[in-house]
Amino acid sequence: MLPDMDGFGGNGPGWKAYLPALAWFAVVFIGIPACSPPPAELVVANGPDVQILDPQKATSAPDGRVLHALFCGLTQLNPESLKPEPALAEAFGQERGGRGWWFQLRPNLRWSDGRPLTGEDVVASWRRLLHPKTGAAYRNWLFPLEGLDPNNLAQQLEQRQDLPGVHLDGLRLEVRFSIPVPAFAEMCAYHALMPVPPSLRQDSPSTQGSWPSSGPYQLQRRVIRDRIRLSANPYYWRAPKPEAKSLDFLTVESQFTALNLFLAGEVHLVATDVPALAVPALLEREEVLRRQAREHGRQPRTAEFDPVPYWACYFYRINVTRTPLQDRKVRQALNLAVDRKALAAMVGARRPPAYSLVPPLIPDYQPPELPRRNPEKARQLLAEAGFPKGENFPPIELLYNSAEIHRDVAESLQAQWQEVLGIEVRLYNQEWKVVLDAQNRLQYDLSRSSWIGDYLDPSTFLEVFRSDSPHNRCGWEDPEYDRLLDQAQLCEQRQPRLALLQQAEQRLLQYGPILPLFYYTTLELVSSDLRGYVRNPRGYVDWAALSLAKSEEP
Amino acid sequence: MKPSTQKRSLAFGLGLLLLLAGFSFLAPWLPLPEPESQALHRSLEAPAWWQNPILGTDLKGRDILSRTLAGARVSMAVGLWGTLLALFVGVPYGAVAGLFGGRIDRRMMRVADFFESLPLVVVVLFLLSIVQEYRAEMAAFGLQRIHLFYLAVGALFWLPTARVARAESLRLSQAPFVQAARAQGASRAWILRRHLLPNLAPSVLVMMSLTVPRVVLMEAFLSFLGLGVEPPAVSWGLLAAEGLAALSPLLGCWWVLVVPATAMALSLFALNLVGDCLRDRMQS
Amino acid sequence: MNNPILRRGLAWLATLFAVHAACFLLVRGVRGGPFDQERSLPPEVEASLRQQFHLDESLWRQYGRSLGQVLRGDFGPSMRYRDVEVGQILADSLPVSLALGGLALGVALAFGISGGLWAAFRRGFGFSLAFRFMTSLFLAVPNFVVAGVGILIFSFILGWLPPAGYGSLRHWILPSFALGLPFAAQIGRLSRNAALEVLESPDFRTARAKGLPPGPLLFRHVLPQVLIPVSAFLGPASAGLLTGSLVIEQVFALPGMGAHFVQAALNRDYTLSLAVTLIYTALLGACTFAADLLAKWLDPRVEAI
Repeated sequence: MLPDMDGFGGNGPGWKAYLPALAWFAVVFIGIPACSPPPAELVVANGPDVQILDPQKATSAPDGRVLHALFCGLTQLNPESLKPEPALAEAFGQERGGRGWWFQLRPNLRWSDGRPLTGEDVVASWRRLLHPKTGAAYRNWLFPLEGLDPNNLAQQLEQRQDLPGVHLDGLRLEVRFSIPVPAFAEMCAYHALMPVPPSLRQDSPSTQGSWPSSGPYQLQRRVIRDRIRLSANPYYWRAPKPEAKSLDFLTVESQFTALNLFLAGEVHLVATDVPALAVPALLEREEVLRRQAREHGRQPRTAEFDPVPYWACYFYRINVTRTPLQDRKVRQALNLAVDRKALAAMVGARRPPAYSLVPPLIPDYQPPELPRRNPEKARQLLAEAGFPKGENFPPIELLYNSAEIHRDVAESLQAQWQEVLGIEVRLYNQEWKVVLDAQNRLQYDLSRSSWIGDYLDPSTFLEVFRSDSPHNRCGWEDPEYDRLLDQAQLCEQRQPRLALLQQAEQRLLQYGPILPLFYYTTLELVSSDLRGYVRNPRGYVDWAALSLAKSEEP
Repeated sequence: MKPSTQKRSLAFGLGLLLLLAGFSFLAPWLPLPEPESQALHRSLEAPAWWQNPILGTDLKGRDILSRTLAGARVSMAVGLWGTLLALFVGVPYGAVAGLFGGRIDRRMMRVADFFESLPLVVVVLFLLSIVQEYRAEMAAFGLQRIHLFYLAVGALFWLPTARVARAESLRLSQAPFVQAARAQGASRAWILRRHLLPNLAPSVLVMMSLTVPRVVLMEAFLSFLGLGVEPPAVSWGLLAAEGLAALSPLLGCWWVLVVPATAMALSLFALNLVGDCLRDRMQS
Repeated sequence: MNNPILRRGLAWLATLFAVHAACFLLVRGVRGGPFDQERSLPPEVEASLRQQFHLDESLWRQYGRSLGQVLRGDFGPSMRYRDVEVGQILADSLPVSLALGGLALGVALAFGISGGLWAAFRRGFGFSLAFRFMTSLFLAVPNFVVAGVGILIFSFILGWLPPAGYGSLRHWILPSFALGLPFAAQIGRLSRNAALEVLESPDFRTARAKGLPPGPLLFRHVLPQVLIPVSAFLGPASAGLLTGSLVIEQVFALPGMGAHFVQAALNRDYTLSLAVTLIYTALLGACTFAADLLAKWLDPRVEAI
């Protein structure tokens, strides 16, 4: 280097200009590996972020999936038949037509930290579910307990250590209800009734994330909006299951991103829906892959995409407090003008048109059916209601939440009603929360909605439209409908009960505040390397059964 | 840059802009499908180049070329209006600060400093998402989100405009003709109106040509996050966001993203070119 | 008040205070509670939740509580993720955003400075036009389009890089380039102009005439001078990177603060969006301040602090 700079080096910054660059290198190349976790054995794209990891407080489907991998109920569902099977309880049964249930707990059950799991944990968890302080959305599931006064819960629970209607004797748990609860064993498989460990029951922020679990996996790390990392629970009662030692639930907001991650092999299971637009391409891809396998004489691979009916219905709510929708004839006219077959074909993915609220998936329950499309009759009814050819019919607003499919459906119905009835429907799209808010305050005319059943029984759909149900949101009050549901609730025999429910649904459809449009199908993507996954109408996954096929040479 | 090159790039940029603008304004008379007419059975058709759909269709079977041209109208209108609003706020603010000088100038510049120290985009996003709750009320007053968007853009871009205007008016207020007017006892309002604002025009023009592309980019950014232009209206940002959201190796529909992105890149490129050339001209 | 650093620090605190107050009021005034979900909660449950988050108290007390929390650096539990502390969310997501910003800045500086220098040394008409074209292109295209085209080419066509997600270093390449390239274009222009100025200065001509080899010529004479305008640009650049990361994190499903911010605002997660807005404000202030200090350190002639 030349020693003399002729005063040139004096006003330049010289070597120190390079120091910040060095500092930057140090920060980035030490920092980035520090925030990158090693990959998990099994990776699931779980859709929107998990809101709350607490069996009693959670309500959304993504939360439920993680909780079912973490915790275990007294029973669990058979993924094929969806019938309850022994889990934490090695045997269970009902008495008195569903008014009484008994469960025999397995001996030597343990939490994932090795501490014993007992019947007291079950009772305490149910007490927690019921307590108003917990804020559990599913607490009404235990309201029918014998001797329980749902109107005075806090006081009742604080006065005593146990739970009215529940009797614990060692490993035997007996439950008594004031009305028949035929689905209780099934409900016990659901996360709301799963026992939770004492540290979670304390409801203190200091224990968050550090509690043990009872299911196939235990919580290792939770990064909001990124992933939930689980590791195998060594004390799981079905040990050595699960085979996969670590499991990631990824938060993937966009359906297209989830699809791309799956196609790139970064994800083994997309538990949420694939984008509606990709459905035809996926079905075609499936066809191509199958043909290829056949031509090359390989083993038929398991289908990665295969929609099956789902226990959920897509419908529109009608606000019956608004003119002219308060007129039943207008509502019927709207119903009769809809071409559901064309609509179902448009939304694709093998979704069947819906002529009832309850999807026809229960063998001994045949849902009543709405009359098919009949433009003549629709026009006639509208004329009877005082709007011949749609004259003087005030424009009505259709509110839906922003998503491609909802807009397509809304636009299609807008066009159909215009064409058949000559009425004007204006479309409004809003964020889901806003739609919900408007529904709750009855600030809408028509609004998009859907309902996913909680258990395999028609009542899970029909209870929504009771006069006093918080989910009603249509302003529809019908004492006869409520009476039919009450009667069904008290019925101990299955067949008469289903008949009563069918009458109730008939009434709902005839008088009702809803336009069922189509039933959902499950749209999950399952890697052909994944073993033990069973498609079913509930989207119920036995997480302990999942494993990854050892990659073999093709 | 040599003056000849400069002239040539200016001509090139202006020509490109005129071409794009001409096409987008003539679009309704061209033999193209309506930008909003859906044909679900024709979704994601590949470009046919010599017949409709010339540049393919989107997820809903809408014609991409027609939508891109419609988006050009919206994006350009947003760019112009947003810029005008920013100028409308920024120029008088800066001119007044520069003209009065002293304590008033310092105070006004401190307010500007405060705004500069905010992560304005974050704050604006925050405001837009909150205001969205009151859309029904706004509709009753005939307001749409796009109007709020103009306000947001005004809030984001008035600062640089104000600074330039201030520097210019500081310089101008020392100029002999302003001094002479002042010596004759002219009021400041009169000086502002008659001397400063007209003489600011050239630098405002440059400022404008540099701000328009930034506003268009900002529109794209906000539309991408779902807080800008609302469907069924289209803009380049929205189109590019739609295209990006639908990107998948399974569907292979590159045109949904690439066509509006190219249109946006071309016109922003032309705008930047014109702005740069005008600025260089001013400086030399 | 004569110490410029102290003055700047106080102004920074005042800004934070004002932003906190404004956001607090806005967020409380807005309609639609944070607790409405698909299954509406029974009224008594909602009341208990409101009590838990102190939404039932008077506005002044809520404000005092919120201010106290901010001062303690404890933002309380998130309203959307009710069993998670906001502090935990920030601790998880801030490193991701910083890593993304840091990498993008690295891309911007590395490509911008080297491109700018190269363009300054090779002054053919075609080359300068090409340079101008490239920089104009990247300045004209929003970063999510860069990201989209990048995904299209490197992920779908070539299959080299993952289209989203994070974990390994491979996942960081596309996001940091998509975020960094527009700034590289800007830095490229700045450094080309600065380098041209040096190349035409008499000092440089003297040094070259003395026969200084190109290496030292570049590293001792040109580059340090180029870094001065570049470091002055770092302040605005960091603001731009912060903003850009909002979108890039969304595109690549990165769990950074930007994605949190947009969602928190939409979900009305009062505590979280307030915290993130404050952190952005603080970060922006800190970044511009650091950039100014750096510029001053590199070139003592710079006065503005």
